[in-house]
Amino acid sequence: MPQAKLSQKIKQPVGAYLKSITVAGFRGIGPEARLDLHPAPGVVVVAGRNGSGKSTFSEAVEVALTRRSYRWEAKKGASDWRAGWRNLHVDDPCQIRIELAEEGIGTTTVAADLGTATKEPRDGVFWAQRPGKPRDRSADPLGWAKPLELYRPLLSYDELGGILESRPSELYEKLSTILGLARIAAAQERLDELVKSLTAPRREARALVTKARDALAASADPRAVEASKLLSARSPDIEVLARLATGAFEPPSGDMAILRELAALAVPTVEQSRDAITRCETAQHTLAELSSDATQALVNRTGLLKHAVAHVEAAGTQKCPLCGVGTLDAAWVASARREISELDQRAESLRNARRAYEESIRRLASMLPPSPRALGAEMDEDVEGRAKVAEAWQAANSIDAASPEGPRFLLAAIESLVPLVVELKTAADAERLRREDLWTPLARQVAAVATALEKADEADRQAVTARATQSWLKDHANELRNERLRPIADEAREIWAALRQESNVDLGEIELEGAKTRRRVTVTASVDGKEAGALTVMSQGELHALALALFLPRATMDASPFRFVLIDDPVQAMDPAKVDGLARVLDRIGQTRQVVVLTHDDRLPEAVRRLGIKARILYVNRSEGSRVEVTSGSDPTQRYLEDAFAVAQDRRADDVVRRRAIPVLCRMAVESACKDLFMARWYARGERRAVVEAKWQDAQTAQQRIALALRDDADGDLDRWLAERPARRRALAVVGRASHEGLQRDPRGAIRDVEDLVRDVRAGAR
Amino acid sequence: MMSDAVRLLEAADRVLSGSVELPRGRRARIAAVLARSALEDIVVETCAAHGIDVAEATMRVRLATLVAVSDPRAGELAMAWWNLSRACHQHAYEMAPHPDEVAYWVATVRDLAGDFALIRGPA
Repeated sequence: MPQAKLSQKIKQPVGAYLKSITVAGFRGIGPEARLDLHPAPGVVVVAGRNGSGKSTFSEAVEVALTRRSYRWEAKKGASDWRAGWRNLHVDDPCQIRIELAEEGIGTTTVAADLGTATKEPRDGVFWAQRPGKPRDRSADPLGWAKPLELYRPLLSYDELGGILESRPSELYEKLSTILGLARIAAAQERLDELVKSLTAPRREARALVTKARDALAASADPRAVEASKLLSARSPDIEVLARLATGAFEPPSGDMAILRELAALAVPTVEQSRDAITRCETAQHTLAELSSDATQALVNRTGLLKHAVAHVEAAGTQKCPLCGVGTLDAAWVASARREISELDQRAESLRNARRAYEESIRRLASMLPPSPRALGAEMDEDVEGRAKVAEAWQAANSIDAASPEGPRFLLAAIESLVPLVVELKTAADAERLRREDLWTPLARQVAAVATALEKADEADRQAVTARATQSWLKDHANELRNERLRPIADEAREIWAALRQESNVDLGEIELEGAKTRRRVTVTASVDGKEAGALTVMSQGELHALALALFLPRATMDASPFRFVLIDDPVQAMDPAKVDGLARVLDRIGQTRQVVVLTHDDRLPEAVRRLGIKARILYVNRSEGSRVEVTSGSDPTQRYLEDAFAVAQDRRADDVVRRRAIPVLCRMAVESACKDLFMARWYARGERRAVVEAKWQDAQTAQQRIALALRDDADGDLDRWLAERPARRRALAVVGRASHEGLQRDPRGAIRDVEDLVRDVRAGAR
Repeated sequence: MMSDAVRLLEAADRVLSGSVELPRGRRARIAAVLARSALEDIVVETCAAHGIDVAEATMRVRLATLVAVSDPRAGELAMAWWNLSRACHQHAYEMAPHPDEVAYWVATVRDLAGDFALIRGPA
């Protein structure tokens, strides 16, 4: 179920197949020549001798699609080639048209116009056109530049050779881009950078702490001392530091607090003092006035009168007991009472005056508060005038305001204290501001340190994760890479297994190793079971096969938008057995991809025919004036017979030519048919090539070769088989005796008999 | 017989020059077939001139015979035959011959035919 979902997600890109290649005036092709290809999966072999113009077709595809050529760039001394890219016979027009069938889009044309003014192909006019759209001359109209580089569906002999001869890191690069391995390297790089950047805050914070501690050490400010103490801790309390810097926190004791208190000192003004003293004196005066009468006598007289009144009221009118003269009666009582009331009033006033006096003295004494703590507290650095104020304050405090001269003394003390206090207040405030000015930059520094420490802590927390990721990736990068490489490596080994045939080199692991400048691809191999580095033990042909094995999987990856591979001359350095293997590999790839193989000899077409592989074979021929023609290759037997018919039909050919040429062509037709049948069967049995070839060469006559095809034995008896149909014997005469002595009968009839014979041999051999 | 060889060589020239209607890709091979037939005629007649009957022998034997009797041009005849044979045959490993190549061998055979006429001439 998850599998199904996954495959739905991975959408295959729209695929492009080659439909035709049309070239004029370029390289080996003069007048316009066209190579038509069937735009669908399958194998097409394009065969042509060296110089036939076949490679021109592949170069044309490369130039039109990539706008460059591996050959120009790979070879330093390619100036000859550069000069010779234009055809010598016909150079106008010089153009390339590639038709591609794009799935879901239609036929797209990719073209290069290399007018006579063009110096090098890359300077030509390149364009692409999708159906119903205008020609697009932009740099990458189809978005294929990257995929072409990634998947490289164009492989030439030169390039295959170059792949394994280039520096190890280059091969690594080629494989790693395709596998998307660059992403792993990029991730590693990013992590390295991240880890590096995450260590920076801590380093910065340390530097700031050192600098701040130096600055703080030079300051006597208690806050600086406190900050210094905090910073010496292994992990400083950042919150306290921050509060210290912003002033939200101050050390409980210290000069700053004292200075602030001093600046806020309060003393009564001289006027207030004077008022208080005046009030005091008034009260004293009033009291003195009232108490000038004999105060006690007044009290005693009132008491006596009250007793007497009480006595008269109790005992009634009588003679005065004291003087014995007067009479104490009701009138006396009334007058006594009047006097008592008067006396009481006077006593009351006196009491009030005393109270008022006492109150004014108390007020006067309390006008100056006791000497404040700030005046006596210890300071790291004293402020000027503090001691004098303290002394004056103490002196004022010690005066007894209630003493007769008290208020006057007090006034004098306050009068001398007030200006001193005012002076001290100003001095203290100035000192506080001075110290504040010194602290501000330090506070800023402490604040910066606090911020830096906070950042460093955060970075440290992140670095833990980053480092863990970094080391994990470091440990597993190659594992990841090789996991991605595995499908390609497996397929490469499979292809190698098909290609190696009789090679004693066994391909082992293909792995990506190392990193940065030491990155490389290691290919291990074993020769007859012994381990060895693959690249050192392989022959040129084997190296080519290996390069092909590595790069066919790349070119045919699902993610590639190209559904074709164009391989130019892969068999050049291969021995025949490898060619058979290659044919099988191409056959397999041809199930899902369009495989176009260009080859300069007939080994691959021959192998394709012999192995019964379904492939189209096209022949490229170049004749005078760089006229290049592409002909469809039917099987050679059929071609010989067609040639024989062509000769028979030529009205101008004379009889001798007919008699002599036709039987030879017929004989070659029969031999070719017999050879294919014989060899296919013997190879299928696993016979060795040398044995099969020798057996074929030993058979000399046409009959012996037919016997090999039908009976596996050159001397096999064919009499009964020949007798079954008269045409068989007639045809045997044409390809036997007549091929030496000349044809004595009607040419067309003879060719038809031979056609029948071929058909019968093919039917009989199955 | 000699006239056959000459006519075959003329036919080969015509094929190569394109005056016979044949697909261009086939011309070289058919010309090679014609030229080789002409050469085989020359070999048989040269053998006969040396008094050797080679009617039943294979071409390989005939060419070996000529070398054996020290015919001055036996070597060239043999080389021309092998090359033309290669051009005729759809050999494994070999593509259709190039017309220029076949034209060269046709000229060689004509040259050899001329020599043969000189040898026979006075006799």
